[in-house]
Amino acid sequence: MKYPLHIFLVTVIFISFGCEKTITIKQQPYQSKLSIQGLITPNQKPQVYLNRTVPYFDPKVNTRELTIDNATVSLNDGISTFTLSFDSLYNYHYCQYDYFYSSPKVIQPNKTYMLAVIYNGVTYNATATTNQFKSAVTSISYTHKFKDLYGEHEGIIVGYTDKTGIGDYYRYEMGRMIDSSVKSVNAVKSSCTFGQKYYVKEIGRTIYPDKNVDGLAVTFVFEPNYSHKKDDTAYIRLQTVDKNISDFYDNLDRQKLAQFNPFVEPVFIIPGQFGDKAIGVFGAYAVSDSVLFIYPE
Amino acid sequence: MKQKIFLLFLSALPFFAMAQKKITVSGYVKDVKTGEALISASVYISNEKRGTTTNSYGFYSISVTQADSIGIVISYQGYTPQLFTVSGFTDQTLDYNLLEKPNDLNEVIVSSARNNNNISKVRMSVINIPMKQIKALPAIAGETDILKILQLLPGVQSGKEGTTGFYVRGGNSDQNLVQLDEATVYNPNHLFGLFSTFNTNAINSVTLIKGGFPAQYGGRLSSILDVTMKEGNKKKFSGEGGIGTISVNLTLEGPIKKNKSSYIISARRTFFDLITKTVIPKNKNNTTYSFYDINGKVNFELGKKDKLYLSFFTGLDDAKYAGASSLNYKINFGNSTAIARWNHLFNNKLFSNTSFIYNDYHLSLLTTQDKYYSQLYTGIKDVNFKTDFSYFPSSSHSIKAGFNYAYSTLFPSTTSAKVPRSGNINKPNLDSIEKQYSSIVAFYINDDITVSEKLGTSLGVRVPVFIKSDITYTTVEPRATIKYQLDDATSIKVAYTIMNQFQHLVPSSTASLPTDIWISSSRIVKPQTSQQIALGLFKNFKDNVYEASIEGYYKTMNNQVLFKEGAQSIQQTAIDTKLTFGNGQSYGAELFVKKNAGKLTGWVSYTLSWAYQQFDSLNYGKQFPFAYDKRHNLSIVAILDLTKKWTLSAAFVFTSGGAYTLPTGRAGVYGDGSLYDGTYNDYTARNNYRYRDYNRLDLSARYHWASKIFGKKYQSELVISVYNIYNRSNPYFIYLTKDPVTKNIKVIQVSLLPIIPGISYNFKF
Repeated sequence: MKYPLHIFLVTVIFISFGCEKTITIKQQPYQSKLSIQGLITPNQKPQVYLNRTVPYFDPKVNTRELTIDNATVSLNDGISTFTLSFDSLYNYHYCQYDYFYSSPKVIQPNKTYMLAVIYNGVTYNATATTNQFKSAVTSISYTHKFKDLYGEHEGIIVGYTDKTGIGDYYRYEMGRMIDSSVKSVNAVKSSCTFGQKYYVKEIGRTIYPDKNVDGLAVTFVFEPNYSHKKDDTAYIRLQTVDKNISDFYDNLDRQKLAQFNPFVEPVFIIPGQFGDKAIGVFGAYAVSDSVLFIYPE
Repeated sequence: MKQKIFLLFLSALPFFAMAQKKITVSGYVKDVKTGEALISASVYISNEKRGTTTNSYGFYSISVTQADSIGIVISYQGYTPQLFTVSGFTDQTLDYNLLEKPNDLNEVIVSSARNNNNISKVRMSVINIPMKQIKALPAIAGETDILKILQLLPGVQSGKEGTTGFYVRGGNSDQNLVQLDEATVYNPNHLFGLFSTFNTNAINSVTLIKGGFPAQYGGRLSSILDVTMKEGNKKKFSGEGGIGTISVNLTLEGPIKKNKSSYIISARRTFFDLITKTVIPKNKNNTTYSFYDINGKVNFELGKKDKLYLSFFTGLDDAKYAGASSLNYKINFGNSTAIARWNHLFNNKLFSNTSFIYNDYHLSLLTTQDKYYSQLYTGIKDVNFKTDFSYFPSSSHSIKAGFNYAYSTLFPSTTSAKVPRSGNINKPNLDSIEKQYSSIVAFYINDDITVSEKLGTSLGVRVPVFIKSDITYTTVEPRATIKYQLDDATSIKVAYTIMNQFQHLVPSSTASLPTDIWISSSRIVKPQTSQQIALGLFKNFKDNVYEASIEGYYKTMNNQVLFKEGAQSIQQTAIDTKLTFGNGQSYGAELFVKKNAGKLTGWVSYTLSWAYQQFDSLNYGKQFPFAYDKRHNLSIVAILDLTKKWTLSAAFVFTSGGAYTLPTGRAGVYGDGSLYDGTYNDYTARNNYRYRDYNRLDLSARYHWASKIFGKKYQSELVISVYNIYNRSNPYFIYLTKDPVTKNIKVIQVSLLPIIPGISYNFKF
């Protein structure tokens, strides 16, 4: 009887512990595309991020490797065309440079801008109009526990009143000074600031349209990206974005939700302003005045 | 137009049924030792070189031209055929009893008596698997199983290991109607799909229909798996049972009144949970498993013309699994059915069966993976009433007609979100689940027409009407099969069917676990429909020792259901709104070569198939491969009766990998998009990648012996089996991980079932 018992135990062990192993998948042929992310807002310099998409399993992950630095990028405001030049800013949290195209000329309100990107002989065009109204944050509070599509998390509750008329889209923006003890939600800490404080700006993934709440007082709860302590301060703003920004970032948000949750069908990126030729967005937004927020816990 | 064709068809039937100088021979075919009905036994009239087969109750009826004497050959696989000569002047009621062949008599078969049903019958795409053969095939952990053997047949694809369901001719798993004594079994699986709920000791027959569906079947698009329970030994008290690596089973049967009525009760239970409870401390016991099933049946002869059958089945699975590092789940599901059936023989040409069926199914599943959870509850309660008539007016016609009313209540609920920080996930409130009530009324008529010795056809129509409070769907389903027999050993057949389906299992094509949920048709969810055409060439060799067939099929499926991209329910809301609808098509060729007799029996099955879907809102509207589109599917099965005491068997399976979706490109998110994890993905096509090919070899050795205990004769059997003998890591699912700093992506393959040895002891008295 001993022998069958041994067999049984071996079977129990096998069934109880499935086997995991890292495998190599042959990357499918992939035609790299241009990724364009250009957002403009009045009284600010334009920034257009221009990158190449890479095969999913490509080892290139560094921003410098992915950035396209030899394109011609220009904006036309209906009167004149000005060229944007290649520029960079150091990202202290990830300890690398972020590269973009910019211009010293600031964006004007209530104008339509046409973006033109010429790369490898192909021209990519899109337009955006800076006619978004400047909203106002009417209230801010904090909850240590909130449950939504993103799970159970802490949240900052932002209140505002929607402007009458359908077609407004909102998302939050928060600026803080942090140091290397602060982690982002993906558990990354700065490895290059050594206790020195640096500025981070985070922008919400979720887009809040005014469908069903047109003209009403509204609140939403957002999950801050960076960890915090009691009495840490932050400045909160509300962005009013155009439909192009709303469509693109809402698409990305739904994709991220599906990517993190293994029980949800994957979300494809819908061709937008650049058609099949490039992925991305060129849009305009307005920003509210900032409101000081102090973490209560 | 369809209605006119139907009426024309009905009005034409009497003209087909012209009377001639005929007599009717009818009766039952049974096992001589037990009195058990032999289903699909061949009754062959040698004078006229044609025959018929018994129905689900062992009954047959055939019209024969008057003659001095009539030669009748009765045969059934695994039984010694019998030849009779009877008087041919008047109607005859003849019950026949066949004797099961002992293992060593396989060679001594009268070749002319070995039936060629696969050639001569009008039906195509039908496979009957004798229980004797099922019991001889390789076992998993000592348990033989019907569903595992089905997956070795042409046109049948298995799902992922550890998941439920099988896939027939490019259809989803919900498109298979699995019936036990006419009651629908919604989830015919135990132990993560390793075993079926069907206890082989309690089963009389198993028939799989993949195409050319007779009109009495409906409600599913792709296949019918018709499983019939034994009636119980009418001659003497007997029993069989066994103990395997993970379960124990016992079946007892006997006469209530000898030769008139009988009972059977069969039960099976795992002891896996009992052992793990003692071996592993309670707080560390993250993997437990238990299942049981109980089958019971009694039957009574209420006079010469009436029989009453009462049967029930109940089974339950309860499991908690903490397997691969990313994956945990708890599952509890069960089927219960209660069936009352009444057979009435109006005369030797008209047989009827009336059934009342109650069905209760539930599945509760909580899965967590990568800090996310999916919780679903799916429940179904059916009440079903049906009456079927079989009428045999002449030698040229065999007519079946019937009526069916079913009332169903479905309770679907699904939620998915990130696991709360507390780790506590609330159980669904069953009272708050929105119930879906619906009824189906169906009428059908089917006539098997023998046009000539060579040409036969089966024509039928089914009219199901689906009724819900706010919507009614009425559909017409014509069915036609034509057979042309080239010679005694060769025939060609063609079949065309339209099918509708009003209950749907919504599959999640990307999730690694069975997060599927049953819903009912509604105003939003239209009935699934399919059209299938199949063409086959059937050829037997060496006096029917070898059966061979090649079948091709083309099937279209409309109103297929999938979840929308990114659909996620955090509350129990109407599931209809999370769905998207599209079409599917599948086509392929199936080759089947089977050896029926001799020391070595078995088959080779090869399927070459394609299955695609197209949804306007998915994959940029372009066609994409079905998740179970597996190009090649090869099975080789061999059973060797080595000696009187030793039987060896082997099964080898190879299938191409199924499809799954991965992004093909990626891009960075800039401008303070830290919550985007720094990147977004570029998906270029759905189901664009393939799992690694699947293959495994299972072996089994059985040693039989007879012994006497207290003067009573017992048959014993020791089964040693090895599942996946070369321990191949077949893919169960794949997931991706990304280093948050380096952003390097790793692909992890999870495999579930390595080599699994098993041993079991079975006895019979």
